[in-house]
Amino acid sequence: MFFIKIIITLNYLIKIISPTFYPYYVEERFSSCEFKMRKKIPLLIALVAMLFSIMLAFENVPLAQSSPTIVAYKVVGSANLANPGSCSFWSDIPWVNLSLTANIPNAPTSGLTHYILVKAAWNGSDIFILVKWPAPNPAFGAWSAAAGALYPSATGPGLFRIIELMPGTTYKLLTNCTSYVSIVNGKSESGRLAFSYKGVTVLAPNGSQIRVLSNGTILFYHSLRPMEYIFYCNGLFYGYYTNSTWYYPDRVAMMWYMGTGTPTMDGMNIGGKYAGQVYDGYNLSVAGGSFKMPGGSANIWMWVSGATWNNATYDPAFKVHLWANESLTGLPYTDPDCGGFAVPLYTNNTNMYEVDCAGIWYNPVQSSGLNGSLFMIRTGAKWCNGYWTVEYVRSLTVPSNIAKYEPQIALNTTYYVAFAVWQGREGETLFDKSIVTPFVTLALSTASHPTPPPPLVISPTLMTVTVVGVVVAVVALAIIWIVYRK
Amino acid sequence: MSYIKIFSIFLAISSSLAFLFEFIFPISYLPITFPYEGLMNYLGVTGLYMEAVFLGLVAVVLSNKVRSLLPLGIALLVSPSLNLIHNYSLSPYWSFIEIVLALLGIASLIEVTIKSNRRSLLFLPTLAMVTLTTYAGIDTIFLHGDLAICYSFIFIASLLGVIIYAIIYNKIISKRAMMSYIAAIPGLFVFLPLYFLVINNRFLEIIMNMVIPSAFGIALYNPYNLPILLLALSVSIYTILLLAIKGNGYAGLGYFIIITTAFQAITGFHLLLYLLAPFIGFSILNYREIGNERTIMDDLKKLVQRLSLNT
Repeated sequence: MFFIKIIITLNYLIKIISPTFYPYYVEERFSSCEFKMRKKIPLLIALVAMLFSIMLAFENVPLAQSSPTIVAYKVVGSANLANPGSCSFWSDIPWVNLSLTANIPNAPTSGLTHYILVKAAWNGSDIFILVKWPAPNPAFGAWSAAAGALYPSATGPGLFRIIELMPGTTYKLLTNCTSYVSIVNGKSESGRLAFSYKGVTVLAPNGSQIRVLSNGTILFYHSLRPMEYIFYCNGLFYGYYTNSTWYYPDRVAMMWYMGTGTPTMDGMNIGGKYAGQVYDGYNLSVAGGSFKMPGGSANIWMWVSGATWNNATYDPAFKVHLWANESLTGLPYTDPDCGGFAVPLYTNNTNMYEVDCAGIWYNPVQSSGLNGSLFMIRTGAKWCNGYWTVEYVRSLTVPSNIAKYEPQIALNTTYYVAFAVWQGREGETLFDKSIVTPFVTLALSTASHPTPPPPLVISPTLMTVTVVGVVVAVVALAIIWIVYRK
Repeated sequence: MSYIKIFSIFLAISSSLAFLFEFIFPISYLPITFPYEGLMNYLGVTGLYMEAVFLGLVAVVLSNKVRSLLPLGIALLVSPSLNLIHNYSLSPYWSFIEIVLALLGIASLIEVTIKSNRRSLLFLPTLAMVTLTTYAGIDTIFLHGDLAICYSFIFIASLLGVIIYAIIYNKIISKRAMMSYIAAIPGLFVFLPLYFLVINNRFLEIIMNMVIPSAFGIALYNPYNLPILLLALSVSIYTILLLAIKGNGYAGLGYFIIITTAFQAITGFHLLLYLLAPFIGFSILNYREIGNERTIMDDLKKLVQRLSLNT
């Protein structure tokens, strides 16, 4: 009855306000002056609706969603990080398959991981995120460049990145630049390197080092963040170079959107060390790693096989007990659990930061405080049958000083998350990676698992919902037909 | 000005801005910057909200002719307040509301078709396309399935019907018609340059293979269909302009809404807006034909009468 009354009222309202649809009605009731006034009502409503829309946009009121992509189920027990994904509760939770795409579409070393599988759970105090992705050639033994920089004796693949310039690029040594020194094929020469590709010329900074392969490919050594930006923006960046002894570690990162409303961009800028950096005559307006979404910020949980994987055989950082050595890390604390972890990062429109006070990978977000923050996100990882499996565990709540940079996770909230994967041996390096195109939604549920698969092909829940849906749709159509019949 | 006219003008502006948002969104993750990106992002987001509100208003106003649009319009208008209900999207009630709305939407497609004249039969491929993409979305959300079909050819089938409609609308050959054919040519140049770029440049083809499907939601199961999709998009924008210049801006607007939203279903709608927009767009597409001349319903009645007389 209530529904019918609403429809009748709406019908009446439409009759009253619409001279177009019911002119006879209007002519009877209103004078010509009133009629003119009434004719302006549509415009008035449109303007009010437009203001309403703009208000919704400015307030970032989330538009109604179709469904959350990832549901974290309430489970009993805790994680077994020694063998990620082995806890019995995981078997009741289905994988969510998220497609990944290339971060740099034209680079042959980008977008090589096509999907990542995700599960989520929580137990009242901690949240567990389980991810799995195909990696036929794991990057065992590769130092993370930042972790390797802390350890003076670090040797092995992946200590610093090498850029492969676009095929067809040529170089020239400008010998009239006598104040410059360049290294070509291991030989130090006086002069400045200039690279040309399809009419675009890029001048290299002092001390640049290149190697030219037999097929003409130019490798640019020890690339700095500004050089990546300069090459990329001038169309000379082809990809990162890898071979059997030179590769980046494998990585996975989970991003949590920390801004308000619905985020529209999950990408990061390529740029300098900081916004406004002037590097060898080039002005870099944005910082590399800064968040692209205007006004947004995000927390990132970064796991690196060459630094944060608790494996003394294949992770060089754990092999040398790097994280137990305060004098090397520069942190006033060590990891109490001596286990794997994920590096907490924080990105906003200004720059990318590390949520600790040492700044091993990126600038520290604060100069003091934040004790223990580097080891708060626990991880367990394993590589088996061509797949990496990484399990993240973090307490749902974090101390208030860290909550500025990491989300407090609670029921009744929808979180926007994104994932990125790097396969180092395949060439995926730094900003050259596989990434989830849009943010996906994650929400905590009080159910322990989704409805178990029934013996029928069609789930009974779906069947019930469909049948009820059909009945209600038919009833609604019948009511509308009766109301408008006449 | 009538309600439908003024709301349609605002809807046209907002759907153009929303399309801008759809285009910026997928390329935003690339390390590419373009002038006024932030401003365009804000404009695009505002357009998306405006599209939701004005589609709701147009649906309510159009419900005078197409009854089953009323619940869809109300659903869109009240949808921002759903955030007051925590975790509404996790609830099975929400699932059932989605199915109800999808069914009502499909009912609206049928209702508007039978209430229109025979020219609307040219929109049957579009009707099939919207129904199919809606099913694909439902399949993705509730069954976690993936309806792998060649969407670009379904789009082309739909476009053919709309092209024929655009040509026969008003007069095929007249002074105004000839001017319309010429004046709409700039519409071709929205996507045609991309076509010429990708057929000769593998690098740009790879980029556009990601950008275009992400912008439209369309899944290109055969990536080599990209040039033909770009051609179809060029022709569709031309047809939309042609319809508008020939005097049926509603049909142009309706088809624009359909092509920019219908394929978002393939990846699970994401927003309620993308579930409902193609249905409302289809009614706008048919607007000029509703109750105009002899309707398909009249034909059906006559057919039933003949059959009953024969028996």
